[in-house]
Amino acid sequence: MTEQVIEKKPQTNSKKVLRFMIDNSVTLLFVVICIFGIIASKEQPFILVSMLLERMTRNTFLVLALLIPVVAGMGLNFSITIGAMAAQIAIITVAYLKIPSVGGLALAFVISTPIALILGKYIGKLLNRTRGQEMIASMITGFFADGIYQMIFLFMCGTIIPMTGSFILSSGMGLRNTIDLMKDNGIGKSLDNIVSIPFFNVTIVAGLVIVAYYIWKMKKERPEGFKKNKMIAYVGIGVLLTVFSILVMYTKVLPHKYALLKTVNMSVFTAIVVGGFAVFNVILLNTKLGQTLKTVGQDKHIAEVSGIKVNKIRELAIMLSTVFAAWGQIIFIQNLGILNTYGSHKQIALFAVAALLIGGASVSKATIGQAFLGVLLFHTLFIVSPKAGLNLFGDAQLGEYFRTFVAYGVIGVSLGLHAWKTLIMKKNE
Amino acid sequence: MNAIKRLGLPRIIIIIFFMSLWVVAGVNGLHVPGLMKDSLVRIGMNVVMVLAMVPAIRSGIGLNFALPIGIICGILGGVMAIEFEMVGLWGFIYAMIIAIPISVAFGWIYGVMLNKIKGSEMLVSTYVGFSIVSLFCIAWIVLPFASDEMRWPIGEGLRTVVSLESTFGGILNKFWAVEFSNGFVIPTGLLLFGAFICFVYYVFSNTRVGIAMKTVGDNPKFAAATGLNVDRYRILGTILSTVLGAIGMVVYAQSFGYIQLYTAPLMMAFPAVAAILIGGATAKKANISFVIIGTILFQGLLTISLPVASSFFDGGNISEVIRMIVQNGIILYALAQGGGE
Amino acid sequence: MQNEYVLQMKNIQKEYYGNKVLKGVNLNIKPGEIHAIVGENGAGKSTFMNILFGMRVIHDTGGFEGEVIIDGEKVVAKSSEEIMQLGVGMVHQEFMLIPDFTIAENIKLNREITIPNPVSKAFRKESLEFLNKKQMNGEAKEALDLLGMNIKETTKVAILPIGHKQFVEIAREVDKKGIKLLVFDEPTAVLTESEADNLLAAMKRLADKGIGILFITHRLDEVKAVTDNVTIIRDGEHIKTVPTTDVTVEEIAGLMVGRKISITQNEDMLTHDELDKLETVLEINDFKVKMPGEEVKGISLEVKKGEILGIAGLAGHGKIGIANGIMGLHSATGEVKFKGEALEISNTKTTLAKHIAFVSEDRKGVGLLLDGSIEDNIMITSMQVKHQFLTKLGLIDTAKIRSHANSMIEQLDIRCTDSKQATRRLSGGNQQKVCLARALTLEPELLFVSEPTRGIDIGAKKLVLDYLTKLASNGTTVVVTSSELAELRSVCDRIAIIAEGRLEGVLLPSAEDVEFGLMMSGEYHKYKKKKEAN
Repeated sequence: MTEQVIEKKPQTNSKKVLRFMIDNSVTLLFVVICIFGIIASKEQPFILVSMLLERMTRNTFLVLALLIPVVAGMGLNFSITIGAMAAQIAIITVAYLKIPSVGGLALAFVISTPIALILGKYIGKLLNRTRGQEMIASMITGFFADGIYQMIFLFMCGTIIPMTGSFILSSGMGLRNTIDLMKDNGIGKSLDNIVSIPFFNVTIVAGLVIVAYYIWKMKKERPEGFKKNKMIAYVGIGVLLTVFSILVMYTKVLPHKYALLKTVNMSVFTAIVVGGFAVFNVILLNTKLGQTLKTVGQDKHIAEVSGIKVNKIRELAIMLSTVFAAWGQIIFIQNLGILNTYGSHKQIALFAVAALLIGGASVSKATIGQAFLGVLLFHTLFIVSPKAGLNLFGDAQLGEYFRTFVAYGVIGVSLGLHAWKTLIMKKNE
Repeated sequence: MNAIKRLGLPRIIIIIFFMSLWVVAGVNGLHVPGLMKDSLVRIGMNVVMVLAMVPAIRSGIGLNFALPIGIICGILGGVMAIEFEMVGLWGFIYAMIIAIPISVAFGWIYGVMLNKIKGSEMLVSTYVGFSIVSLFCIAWIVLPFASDEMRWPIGEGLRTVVSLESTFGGILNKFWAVEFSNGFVIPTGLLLFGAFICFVYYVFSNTRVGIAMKTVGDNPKFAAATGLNVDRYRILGTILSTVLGAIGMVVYAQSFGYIQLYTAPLMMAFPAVAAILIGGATAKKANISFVIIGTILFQGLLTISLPVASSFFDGGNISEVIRMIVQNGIILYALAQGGGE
Repeated sequence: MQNEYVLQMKNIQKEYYGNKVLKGVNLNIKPGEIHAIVGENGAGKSTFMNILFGMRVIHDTGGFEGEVIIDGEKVVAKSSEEIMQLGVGMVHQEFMLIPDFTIAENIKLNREITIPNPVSKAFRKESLEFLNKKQMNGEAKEALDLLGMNIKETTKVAILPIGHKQFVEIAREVDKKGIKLLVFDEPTAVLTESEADNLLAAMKRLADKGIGILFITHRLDEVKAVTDNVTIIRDGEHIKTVPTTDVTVEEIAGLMVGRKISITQNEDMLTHDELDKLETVLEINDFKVKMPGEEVKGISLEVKKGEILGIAGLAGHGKIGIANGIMGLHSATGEVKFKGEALEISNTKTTLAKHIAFVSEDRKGVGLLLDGSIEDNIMITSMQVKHQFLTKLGLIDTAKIRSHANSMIEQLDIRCTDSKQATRRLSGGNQQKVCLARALTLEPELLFVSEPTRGIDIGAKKLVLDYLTKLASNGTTVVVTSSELAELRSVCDRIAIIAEGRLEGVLLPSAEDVEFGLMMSGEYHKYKKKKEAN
């Protein structure tokens, strides 16, 4: 007897397209908004690419830190703010002790880790107590911790915590508002500067790799029909990328505004760190621990009955997320070059969550591809909004408000849609 | 003994702490009558917004983190009053006449949406609230207001903070106010209005419809078996909450003397939530006495903690920090009690 | 050395708060034997299984008497994990499967096979080892093959039909090495006929491998088809254990039901002729209800004015769904006519307004506002539906509510401190009386009562049943849905029996035990046909 292969009912092509559009409506809408924004802002391509590249390198790690809690069924971890605070405590310490450059940076990573682990453990315990309302609890926990953070740095620095010198405000109490990490060979840009190469040299290589990979895949799998066309398309993209990059870097054929693209630099080391983290997430999910995380995320009751200690796993998920958020914040701050003591951590949760959701993720499912895509789209909008607002309405501020509205709106819509879908699925059971 | 049980230990601790702060204030030479006046004012100006939580909790949609929707409607009312130069008590009434129908409409739409996401109301409502505030940030720039009092002298749109001095600022507070020689003032109008709204709501909650709404929130399955349309009563609760939010904002603004536009309303739901929780409510249970106790405790605590803390920690804006800690700590504590699902 | 028995349970007795639910039940299963347990609702089967699996609820309520012996060793388990380690597995009615995982992942849930790697060795944690998907898939395939299931083990469970899902459940148990006894709890309830046949065939295959099978079911033809021995339990008593070949379906059915001598006959019961003369007050045609767990698949029935109609049937077969569907609490289709007029069944309010009232089987979930007072609970439906208990101004009339509540408390003998007491504080019986009081306040012409005496003490039981009888004699039509057949037979004029979501038949209380037993198992028609053929 041949093996039965049970497949879903085949759908017509038009139905498939419709489903695709509905499932990815948020992302598609965003792509449209971004395209409009880019056109309206009339921004120079090299500025756009350069800023986008920089933002992606510095922000993606933070967004990736959100993945593990989603897998573990705890929703969107708004309390990554607290991981960021741990990072900032470490950065302030390193800067105060004047430990320079990469060494200082490494020390910051080392100091922030145990702080983040301990805080993460307690957040995890708290979220276990608020089962069913984890996301709003994590959000309020972030606010609460912010209060304590401010208490420490506004009132305990210089008084209870013996610090002196330029770091303390003139009144003798409270840490100064901004700390310049670039001067005195500080940790600013230390990670970025390890390896910095023109971006379009990198894309030449990337394009070739894509072409090679898909040709190899096609030889190995010999796909048919739609899949074959997909792979041919990918090869085409790779070729286009390589050709365009060569034109940018080594010829004078392109119009000036595109030729300027060759000045765009990429912090390769940082990018490798981020890429490595992404790969790490994939590897983690292939271990027993990863499978356990997934099980807990799918069905807590079944996990419990099968002998998994659900509460401990959830705590672990948050601990990991907090540590990764701390590391991500260190990468973020070193790229900015400047630490805003009381404000650098404030909106990162909002922006990271919005980015992830824009990439197509939901409360119960998030992938690495969605994280990258989301950061790309979200930050494109970020870059072009002020200028677009200025060009369209004569007011740059309008553009800024628009992007904040979009960030909140995306989260609200995404969460709402997810809740609605869950309700409908429950009814159909 | 029974009273202690009913109030609960955490609340008792807070009350004792609150009382002791007054003692410390006196000992440290702070101007107690002035502080008491400030407390009464803050209580009066916030009580209606805290009351707005009650219909939301009672109808089963939980804590209304989207209170900013109602608040924006209230702001719209106030801004219109300034635009059309409505002065005095009539300005206050005019603001409400504008705000209430708008808040009914918004509340209805929002209520319909909430019915589709039963179980996740609190989280989604937070972001809906944020989105509406952000949307109106754009609106304040774009809408065609003409009043010179409100517009930026150069550039587009309304100012961030708009004064109510020329219209209805302070109108309730000064109404029948009783002034004492030591600086203590009772803002009678304000307190009377707050009491009046609470009374109206109290009467409503004893009508058939009010009881029906509470039934829906207590046990939706039971309500359905009693023939009640659960969805409709949830929408009613949402509308009432939004309307009270609007009214509450108008009261708040007239007391404050200013209307804060743009991003100020973003976080305004949280103090109201914290206040009702500290008063004894949970995400599933609320009544008017919780509102009154909670507002008194929360606002009173905030009023007095700043000067007392400042007298210890010279300088610095410690009140804001304390507010963040206390407010969010209370909400977190309440969430950790109720296991949600 | 192979033990003679893989499982022995000797003289098992269990008491719940003074109520003896198991009175000395014995069970012996040999390796490779398929043994069935049959019994009505409340016979004690679930408690018996809970004892076998060392469930906490048994320990928390005073433990049990008797011995559990697995493979020759006496066992006193503190948790179900311990029992499972000894080789006893359970295939539940509700599947414990994760839809988004593959079959193999489900089979290997929390028992995944792993390969060590440098990191896991460094930290010495098994959880960091990589998943050995190849081996996991391989072993999963073996388990599937054993059951004769030919589906790819990498298929996601979500898209499998129910029958296949159940096989995955079984495969998971079988994959656990050293499985000696497998317990199946009503496995065929959710299966189609062909799926059920597949399951029985798989059971036989497992038994052939030496695994003992304990088969809890009510489908007597299945018992005859595959089992070696059958044990019948009734009211916590071990009635009989016989080889299946030595007993007929009718005999089993008769033993399952039996008649309790202590419940007295209802003298006021109507005779056949009297019943025929009554007019029809409620007509139900092709009625279907989508109530999870109690699905009604098509019922046509007439209710006569002034009678007490009982609705009986095994748990999960739909009897509870009927009243719920008519009252609009769960979605239903079909035609329902009240006094000749069509009833809008989805609209609870209009149904209540027509003086049709309902006491739900879910006392605490649907029937009461637990934090509300007795008087509030009693008056609420009438207030909302008929706008009663309100003053002229539309406000709540506390005085009227209180006096009405007090009269109800007296009539039904509700034991409480006063009418303001929260219903949460009342005993089960008194809570039930409050629910009844609320329904009666509506002054119904037709009253549906579901599980009226569940969880109440004897005294309260009698009072409730007597009250229902009095209601009927005053002209109210009463429809009682109950799991306790004996009670129905003592109070009702007619009893409708629901099996597998359909009306199996309507009997007079005086009908023979065998007829009741067969109807409840859904075997009645086959039996009748055979009788007629003879």
